[in-house]
Amino acid sequence: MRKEEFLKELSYLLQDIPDADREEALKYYEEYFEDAPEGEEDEIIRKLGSPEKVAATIREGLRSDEESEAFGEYTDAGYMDERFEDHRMPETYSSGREEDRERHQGTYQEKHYGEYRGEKTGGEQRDRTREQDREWEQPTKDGASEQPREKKRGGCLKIFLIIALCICAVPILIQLALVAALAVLGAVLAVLAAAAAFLLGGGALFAAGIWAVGKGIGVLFVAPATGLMICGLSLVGIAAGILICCFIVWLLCKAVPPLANGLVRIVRRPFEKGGTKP
Amino acid sequence: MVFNTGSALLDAIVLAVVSLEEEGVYGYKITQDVRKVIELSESTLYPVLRRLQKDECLIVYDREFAGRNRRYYKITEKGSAQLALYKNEWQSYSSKISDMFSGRIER
Repeated sequence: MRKEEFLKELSYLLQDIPDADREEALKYYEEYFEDAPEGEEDEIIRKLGSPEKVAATIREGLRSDEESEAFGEYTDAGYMDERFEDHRMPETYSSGREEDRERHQGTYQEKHYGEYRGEKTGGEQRDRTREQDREWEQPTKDGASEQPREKKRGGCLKIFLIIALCICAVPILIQLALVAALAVLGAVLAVLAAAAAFLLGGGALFAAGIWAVGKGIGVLFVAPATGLMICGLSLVGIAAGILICCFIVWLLCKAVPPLANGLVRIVRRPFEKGGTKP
Repeated sequence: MVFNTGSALLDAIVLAVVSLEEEGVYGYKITQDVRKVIELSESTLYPVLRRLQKDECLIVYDREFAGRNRRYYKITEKGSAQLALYKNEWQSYSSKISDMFSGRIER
């Protein structure tokens, strides 16, 4: 994957976040590539991971903005967020249920802080430190033990609601799909009918021209001037007929494949999105 | 690495890296410098820088470099205070643990 592709993909994946945030993130990664030593593009892309992962990281950052508790969610329980990071921890530690782990670390932190605050107070400097410390870290202490579980419940509910919505939406979606398919069919038929009408018209003009030339030749012997005029007009008609037919055939050959391609792409799009991209 | 890097420690490292240059440091350089001391995915730092910026510990400005604008991150006064606090905490934390490991701690 090239850097342009990577950035394009990233931009595509972030199309639903606010424009300013997306542009800022894209600018950061664009610069990141530009600042990297030349010839290391592949290496950088490999190290950054998939655009999906980078997008998830950016999104995570935005999400913690909204909750205005950036610290509460991945404090000392480990910054390496389970969702995007490789596991490099010992097996026994990470194999436990996540919830257990979080609770465990929450209480550890709680105790640790209590101990620290309760006993280790001495010296003027220490007091000043604690003052600042409290202001800065307080949200952490409150958030760390409760927030993760609450969030999990919210996640379950969200998934449930999405499933329910999907089930409810099925009849409507089927109808919508039917309507869309019919509309496409109608458009295709209309185009074909128009093409057929023009072809028929051209053919008729051609046939009429041939017939009129025959007539004209007959008239030529009675009234040469009129005969010549009829012949001339008929030939023009024949030419016009051939031209129209050729034009329609050319138009069909030129326009149909791209249209069909476009149609196929539109239909395939929703199926592609869910799967892994090449 | 077996030890997780908590977000406070990561913040401290980033602030330390940025504070070393008076003129500020750009994103790629920060990532590379941080990666010298801790293992970390290259994409982890963007949200961290963004948050530090939002918390007014860092400010950004664009400076021209090789015909384009490069974004530099610079430490603020609040960031420096925060870094001092982190350093202090780290000193006591790491020395206690080191003492414990080497059996020097009194029971």
